[in-house]
Amino acid sequence: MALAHIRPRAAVAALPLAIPVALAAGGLLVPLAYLALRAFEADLATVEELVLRRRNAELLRNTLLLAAALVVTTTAIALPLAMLTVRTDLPARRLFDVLLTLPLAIPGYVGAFVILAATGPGGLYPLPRPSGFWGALIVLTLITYPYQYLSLRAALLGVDPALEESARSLGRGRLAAFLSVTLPQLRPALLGGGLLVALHAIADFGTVSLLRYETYSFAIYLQYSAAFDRTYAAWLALLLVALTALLLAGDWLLLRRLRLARTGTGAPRRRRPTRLGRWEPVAVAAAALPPLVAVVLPLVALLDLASRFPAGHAAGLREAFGNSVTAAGAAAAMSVAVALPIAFTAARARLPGAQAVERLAYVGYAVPPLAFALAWVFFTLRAAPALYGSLPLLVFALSLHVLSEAMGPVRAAVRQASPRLEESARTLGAGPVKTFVRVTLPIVWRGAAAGGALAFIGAVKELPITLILAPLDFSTLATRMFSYTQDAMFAEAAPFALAIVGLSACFVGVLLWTERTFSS
Amino acid sequence: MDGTHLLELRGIRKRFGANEVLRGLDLTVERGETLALVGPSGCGKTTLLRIIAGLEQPDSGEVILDGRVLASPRGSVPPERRRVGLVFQEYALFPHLDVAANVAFGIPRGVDKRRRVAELLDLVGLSGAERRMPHELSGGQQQRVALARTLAAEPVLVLLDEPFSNLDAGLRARVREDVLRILRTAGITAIVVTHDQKEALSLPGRVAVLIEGQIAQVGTAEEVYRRPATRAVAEFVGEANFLPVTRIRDGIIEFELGCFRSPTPPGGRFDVMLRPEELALAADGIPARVVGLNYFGHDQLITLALPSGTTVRVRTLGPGRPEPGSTVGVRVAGEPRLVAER
Repeated sequence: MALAHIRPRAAVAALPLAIPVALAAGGLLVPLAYLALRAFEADLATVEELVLRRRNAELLRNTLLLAAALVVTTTAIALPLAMLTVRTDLPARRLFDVLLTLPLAIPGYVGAFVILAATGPGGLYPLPRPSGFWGALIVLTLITYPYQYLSLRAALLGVDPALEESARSLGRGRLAAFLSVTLPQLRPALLGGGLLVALHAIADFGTVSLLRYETYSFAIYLQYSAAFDRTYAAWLALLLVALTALLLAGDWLLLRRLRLARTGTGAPRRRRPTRLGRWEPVAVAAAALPPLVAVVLPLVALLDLASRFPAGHAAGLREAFGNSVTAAGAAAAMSVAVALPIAFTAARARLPGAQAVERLAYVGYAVPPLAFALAWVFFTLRAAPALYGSLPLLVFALSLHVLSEAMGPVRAAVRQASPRLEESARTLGAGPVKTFVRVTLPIVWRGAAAGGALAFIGAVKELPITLILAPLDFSTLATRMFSYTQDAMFAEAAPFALAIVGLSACFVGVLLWTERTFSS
Repeated sequence: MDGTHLLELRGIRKRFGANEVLRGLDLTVERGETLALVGPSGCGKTTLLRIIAGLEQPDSGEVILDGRVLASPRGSVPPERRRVGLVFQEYALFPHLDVAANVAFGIPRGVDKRRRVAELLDLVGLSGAERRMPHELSGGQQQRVALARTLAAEPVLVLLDEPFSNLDAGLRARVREDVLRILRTAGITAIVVTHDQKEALSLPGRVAVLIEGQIAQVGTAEEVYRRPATRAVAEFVGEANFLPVTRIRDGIIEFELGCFRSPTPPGGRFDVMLRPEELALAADGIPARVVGLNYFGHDQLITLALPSGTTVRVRTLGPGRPEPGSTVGVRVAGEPRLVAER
């Protein structure tokens, strides 16, 4: 009998998947581990002195205060808005869905810039200029409430109206039924959205440093840029990471308890929308206010300031634009190249814990970018000095930071590419390579493009990692704008901010296009 | 090896975690036949197809096709070099390719693709559908495109996994006729997997019954129905009554409703089996009490308690519905036989 083409059994195509997965895991975890090592290099007395400083308590109090206040303000805005768009006959609800999430496109430092440049005496908006805590809270509220809004909106859509109806038939009034039946069901969504908002507050760097509110991030940057006591900076970064980990763990514990307490929901019937009647104009105004304040007013201010842009700076703008596109483009491509194998491993590998690999991508999202960048500084200075301040390092760190953004659409696309299709191709005579090129790739490429667009937007907007890891003469739109703003050169800064917003808008266009072709 | 076997499976074992799906399975498929592979859900049918196609590796055992060892403990031929076609239950048409491109996907090099696609679409009755996309086709049309696509790769064996289960009942009979005609015209050896025993019995070729990871019986539809090898086969392919043997004397088997001559199977427990249509109501029969009645229109199934307490089911046609609780007579109207417990 002929033994034709027999191949020995091997782990199925393990290597092409394992390398990117290991790259992501190593890139995220090794610098953080090194950060801890670096921090504990100091002798015990120094550590005690560094950690138990009065200033640390102040920083902790400031950081937690901002996070807590932000969760309250964003929820206070998002819950009524979600109720309006989900449960009432608000006109143009689809449009409001889009408008209400637009503020996500405004980076925090742009918001802070608008407050500094356009309020106060002589500003375009002659209002008292908020700064410190209140300034940071206002800016962060306006740009992060969409996280809570999207989370609550999804949860409200999933609530079975029959539950509230049965509460009504059991004798509860409209408000009592909402409070006793619906609100408890929203708790997981409130926690989920609240976590995102709080993570944002803890990790935020641009807003707090421009508005001079001393949180961990701000203090770390001060240490890094001015004093640069490395051990103290390492400790602050480590404490910031620890705070993030505590928050995640607490949220996970709370959420787990809630999940256990819930029963199956099934596919709820659609609820009849509540009629707004004569309240309709008020409701429309209320729903239009957040996007107006968070997007329209800043854009008007930016345009107004940009009209006074000194023409001599145009070359700098062009150069920064090119640098931003280069760095963000490379980072986006790299994050997609890493996200694809991770999604495949999670979807296909018959290994226990394969899904955990996917969650790894979200570590990059949760780790405060400033701490992450600092960890890379320490790590490369020790392990690979040639990498320090090099473009490849910046691109790699950025790609890990935006990996979770690329992950979403890529994951959905990979789930769509049924293994049956690839198996069909194999039985039709196509080898693994031909199968990937002719079957898998055409099915997942739109998801990959959408993930790449999201990652690109994230990388263009990113500030602290770029600020710390970029090569000396390499300035991007974000870093140029930040330094002009610090020097109160508002007219010079404005076009950079506009360019960032414009680039983001272009890629939102790509995103909408891929979604359209997806659904056809 | 004699020349008529196309596929030979020897001692195939496959385990997923703690669950042993295939337990030393042996099967041979003759050249040119259409074999129906039938078994209850979860008996390992799909796993077996995937092993033959090369999408899973057996833990032990051998797959031999046309004299080539495709899988053995020493290694395995990858699916693309086996020349085994597999039509998936959900068809798995490539959603980004039109009908012509789907069919052309597996056409070997050196063949005039356009002509071959036209020929195959003509064979499956879909000429003119070249430019249509899979989502624009009905279930039956998708099924036929999938079949044309599989045939285009010039396989020596075609496997069809539950080919009719995604179609509604009205369409199923017609698509089945179409598919069988296409396979016959192509002159190709095929294994058709189904969990529906009626469908398996109505297919033209032999039937292999897969129960608990082993082939319990292979034979014509009539053999499997009339002479099931085990009690499990008997129960899977249709309704069956089992009655205990009361005495064996001189090769005569005695049981509650009569006696017959039969050699006794070697070893193990065995019972007398009669299908419900092999019993009849008769005034001069053995008295039995009516304990249940299921009326189906063109026939009815009557449950009777015999004097010993054993219950049997009798299928009758036409009018005459006995009252539950009343006493009727029952007699054997067919051929009783012995069926082993396992």
